[in-house]
Amino acid sequence: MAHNSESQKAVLIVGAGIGGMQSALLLAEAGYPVYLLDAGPAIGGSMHLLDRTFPTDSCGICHMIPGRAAYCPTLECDLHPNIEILPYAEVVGLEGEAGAFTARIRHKPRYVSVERCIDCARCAEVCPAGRPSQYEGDLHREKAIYRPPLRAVPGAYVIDMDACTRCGQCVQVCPTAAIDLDMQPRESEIAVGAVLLSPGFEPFDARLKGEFGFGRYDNVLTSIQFERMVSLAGSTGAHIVRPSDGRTPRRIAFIHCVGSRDVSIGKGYCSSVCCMHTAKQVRVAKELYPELEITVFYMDIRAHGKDFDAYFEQVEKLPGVTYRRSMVSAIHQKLQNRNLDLVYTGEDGQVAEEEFDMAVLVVGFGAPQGAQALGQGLGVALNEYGFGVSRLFAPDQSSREGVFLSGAFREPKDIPETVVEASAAAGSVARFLQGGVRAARQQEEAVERNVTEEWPKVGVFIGDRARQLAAAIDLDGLAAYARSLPNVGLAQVVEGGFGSAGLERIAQIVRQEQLNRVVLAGFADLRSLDAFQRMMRAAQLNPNLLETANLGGELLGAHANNGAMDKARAMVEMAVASAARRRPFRAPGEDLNQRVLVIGGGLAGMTAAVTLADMGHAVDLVERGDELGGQLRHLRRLLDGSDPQAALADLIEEVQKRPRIRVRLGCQVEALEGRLGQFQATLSQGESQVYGAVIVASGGQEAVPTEYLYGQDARVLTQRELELRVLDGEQRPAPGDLQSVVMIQCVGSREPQRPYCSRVCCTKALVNALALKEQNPALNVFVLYREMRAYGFREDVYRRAREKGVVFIRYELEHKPQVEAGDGRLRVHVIEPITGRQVTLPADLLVLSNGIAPNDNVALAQALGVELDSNGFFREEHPKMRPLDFARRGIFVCGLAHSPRAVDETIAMARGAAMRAASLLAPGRVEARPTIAYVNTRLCSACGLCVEACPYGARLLEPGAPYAEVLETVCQGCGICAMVCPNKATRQVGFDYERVFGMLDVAVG
Amino acid sequence: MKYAYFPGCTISTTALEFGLSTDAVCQALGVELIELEDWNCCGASSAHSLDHDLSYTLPTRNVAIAQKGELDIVAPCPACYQHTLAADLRLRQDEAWRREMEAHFGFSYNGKGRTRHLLEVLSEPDVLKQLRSLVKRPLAGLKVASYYGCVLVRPPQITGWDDPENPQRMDRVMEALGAEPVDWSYKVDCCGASMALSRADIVIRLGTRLGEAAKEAGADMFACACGICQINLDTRQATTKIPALYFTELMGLAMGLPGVNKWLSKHAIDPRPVLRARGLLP
Repeated sequence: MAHNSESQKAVLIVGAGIGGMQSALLLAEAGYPVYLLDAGPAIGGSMHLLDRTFPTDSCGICHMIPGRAAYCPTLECDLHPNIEILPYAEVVGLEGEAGAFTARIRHKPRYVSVERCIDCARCAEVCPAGRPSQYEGDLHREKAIYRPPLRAVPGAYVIDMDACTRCGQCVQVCPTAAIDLDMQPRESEIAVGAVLLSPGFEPFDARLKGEFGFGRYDNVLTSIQFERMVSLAGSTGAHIVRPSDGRTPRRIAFIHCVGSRDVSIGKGYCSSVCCMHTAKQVRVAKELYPELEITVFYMDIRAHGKDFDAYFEQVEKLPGVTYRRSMVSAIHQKLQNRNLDLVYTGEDGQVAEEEFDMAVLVVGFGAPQGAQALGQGLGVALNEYGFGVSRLFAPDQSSREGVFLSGAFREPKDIPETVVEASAAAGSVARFLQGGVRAARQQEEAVERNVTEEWPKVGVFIGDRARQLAAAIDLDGLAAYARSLPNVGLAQVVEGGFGSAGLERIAQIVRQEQLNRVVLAGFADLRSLDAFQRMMRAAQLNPNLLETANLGGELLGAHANNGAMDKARAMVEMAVASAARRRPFRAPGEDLNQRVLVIGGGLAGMTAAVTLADMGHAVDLVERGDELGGQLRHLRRLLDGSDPQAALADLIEEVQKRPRIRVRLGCQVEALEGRLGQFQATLSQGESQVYGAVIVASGGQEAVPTEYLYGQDARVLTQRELELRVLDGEQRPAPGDLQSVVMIQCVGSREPQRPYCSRVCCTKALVNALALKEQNPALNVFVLYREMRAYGFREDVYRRAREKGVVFIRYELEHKPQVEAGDGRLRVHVIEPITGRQVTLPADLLVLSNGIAPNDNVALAQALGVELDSNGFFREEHPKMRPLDFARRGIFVCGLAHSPRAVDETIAMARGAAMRAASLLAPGRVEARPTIAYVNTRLCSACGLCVEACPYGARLLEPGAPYAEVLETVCQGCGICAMVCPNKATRQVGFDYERVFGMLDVAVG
Repeated sequence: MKYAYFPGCTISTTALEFGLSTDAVCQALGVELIELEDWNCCGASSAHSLDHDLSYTLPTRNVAIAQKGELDIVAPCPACYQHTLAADLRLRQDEAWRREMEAHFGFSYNGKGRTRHLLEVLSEPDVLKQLRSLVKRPLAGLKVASYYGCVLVRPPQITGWDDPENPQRMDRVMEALGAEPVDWSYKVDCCGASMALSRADIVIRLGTRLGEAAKEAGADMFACACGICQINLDTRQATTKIPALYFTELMGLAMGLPGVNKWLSKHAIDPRPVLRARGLLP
């Protein structure tokens, strides 16, 4: 990989799933050399298994990366000059100190050479041995020599030696001698400054729950297998079929929590994502087969993320879908038709039995294989379940200095949370290495020959690889043909192809012969773009004068025998026609101001400010109140026993001792104009300032209860007040004097007026209930809940609370608890759903778990030109793909301003937003994309359609102006405005009609 | 092979055919069962419902007696087996209790003996080999639903000799006899046990379900390893009439041992018509 000229400390990222790739790209963009290692034969992780994802039902790993929409992150990681991929490898040791580690890597033998494998599949055709396809969840078999899934990188084959019979057939048929059955593992050492662990999680092996018959009964599947079954890219092509007879099932049962919330198999925690992904699978299944009857057996519905409840409610209401709050104890199979009998206890307490044609076990997710070895080898602490341990206020720090963790390896979580944590961890690594953030590619001073007055003189260079093209077509004949075309000054075959030596020679020839256009025909795909552009610079030509014709990709395999030469000639002719019409393009650019505006001085804002300051940015931290701290000022008790007030004091000190951070209290943002790199903010205090990026960390507030006698009776408190007064404060009343405390969950949440879940209240109630019990074991504590959302490792706290004697009684929205004051104690009446009877609980204290409300964000949203969602929180660009960004480039969001979240989640989001901002500002200067829009002002009628159509706010029509403009550095080159323009006044660079029609003319002419 | 045999209370009464067939089969196989001297009730029924410590004390006495003979204990009844096993385990794990028991019974526990179930012992590979060589009349064409009952192979951490959800050992014995075990999924589903007396309606419901499941799986017969399971299956199938034999009876039948007729006559659902129809009766 390319290293910066100044030696920059390298980073080792262990685990190349969506989190690892995200961190790798952010760090690489920031100028750090990155080793991206994965235990599997290719990068990509679990995301390749998924088709559509909740809550947007959108598919696509492609959008998940910073900056470039519609680029595949696996491809991006492959292309980035700062990233070196280490597939099929493990870290076996980490010596040295934080900042100067030596990592020992063990490279597992793949038995196939990555460099030589050309992905022709001949080996798999002849292989006699099979193995279950892990990618398909073992639903199908593949050969012992197999290829990682389509999108994975590297795409070379790999042999599973456990399945291989060593017959040697593959070795014989391989055309490039890429297979070596005696390949040995090898070890290497790399020097790195920091390590980031993101090895993710793995699905639970459902065979360990023998009562469900997975692996024994034909029609019992896991949720992983079902995911593949409903995916268009899966092996059944989105047909749901019963493995026993290939028929479409009519009744499917889903069973939640197989391998989660189960102490009998050592998996006491909650896997967090399964309630939602099951809802998605139900929805997708119903879409594919509207007549399907689906029953979902569950314990709690954990829809605690943004918009999750709304999504779930829609799925629950689908016709033919039944959600049953009951767990199935065993599945029995009917031998004759392979149908399944499920026995369960209904909500009314009656035992019932139902027959289904198919059952899907919703498997949990555990620590990845090799986690124990990783923990031991690297000296990193793991919890009892094998996941990496960190603390609430330092969520990405492992127990070893210099080793960071992120994503599902820390605790099972969904995709957006993983992406956020990955961004945050990258930020923490950058801070730790104190390298700041620098441009990835050097801004070389390019000398370019001015060719505008010259007649086009195209040089056609043909490059082969391993003689593959020569085997299909006559290369010299092709060169001769090229020479015969108009505008061609020179055409030749380059010995050795387009490797670095070949490209050097090409640059030389171009300069010598004064060619002013270059066509590279042969193995010329996207992977080599950087190298080709370097060649153009060396040739002193503008890079836009290069045209590629990827004969390697287009001819081999498709036209192996017939028509290959014809196609090659046609491609070269088109390339020449296009090249001749190319014009040099200097992307307009502008400087990116490096100062960042952070709106809000709470936990999120301060964390973002400190992160940015440590990466070299000046920060203005603007807080509308008169002190820093936000909601953190009111927290007293946390899940892991951390002291929030001490942490707050520390954080304020961190802010104050950094001269780069300017704090403005009692200050608000009134208006924001401009764009990424050049925002102009009008503040309520002081003069307006220019900022490169803006981070919205404006927080949220308590949703003050309006029911249950709150405010009318002194015995009714919020959880916050309980902490302040009873548990930690003045002990008024003292827990020792209490006999009965009742807590009510979901106060003011998940109701028509405020339909979302506030996420933190279940945890809060558990923590406080346990604290009460600790102080007075004889105290009766009752928790009235609708769902207990103790996701992840919070489930252990839930179990502990039950073990300590806290009584949990469910209530339904239609029958909310009634509170009576009366003489003596409070009386709380609740209808218990299973018995259907009313239960009356005496209460010395009634504690309300009220939720989180957004601030009144309307004014700020308007000032910033961003949107709010229907609940009043800020609406991010895309809930799944871009949780930290707004559609308006350069503005980011984090913390409660986005949605209710806990301390560690807020910190991760703030650091993530800071890292996003920093990496976008890193190049110091933004250049327009090579495909930006431009306006032919004579044709423009100033209709304004382009302004409306642009999703990025990159089109401008000033009132009274004669034509519309393009904000070149904001334009993403999507082409939408060019499409809608009725006069064709708006066009796109690189897609000018002369060139496109020129190519088409020679193609069809 | 020699074992200290713990017959339990039912082997000479309600599970007489189990006892008789066990004796005959073990003799033929060369498995010597030496009845435990002066053995007492294992505490599985009343004692365990009324007095926790008594339910452990009773089987501990048997363990002490067996230790004298230096043999492993074998019990045909799963409840006796579980109780004795639990008592033995408590002696191993609970030091204070062990000392109390040693003082009470005047012995020094050495932990050398093990407690085994009859099926465990008779399905060992070398016993199966011996069995195969002694089969005179293979039970060809007889489809058997191996019914292990809910107690026999649970909890796996304590019993440990077969899969708790899909046990195989009885099925292996059936195969060795030339019969066809069916792959049905109710092998370890409860029959209702001693609720036969107090809540017959539950036992009828469970027994009926087992009968219908066995029928759906195409079974001709149940093979059992427990007295109460056999009784419940024999008397509480409402919609089916599938005979329930002890696995040892089937072994005896296949080995052509004398006395088979006497055992078979003890069943409420007469198994002889089915056996005759398959040509398996002499």
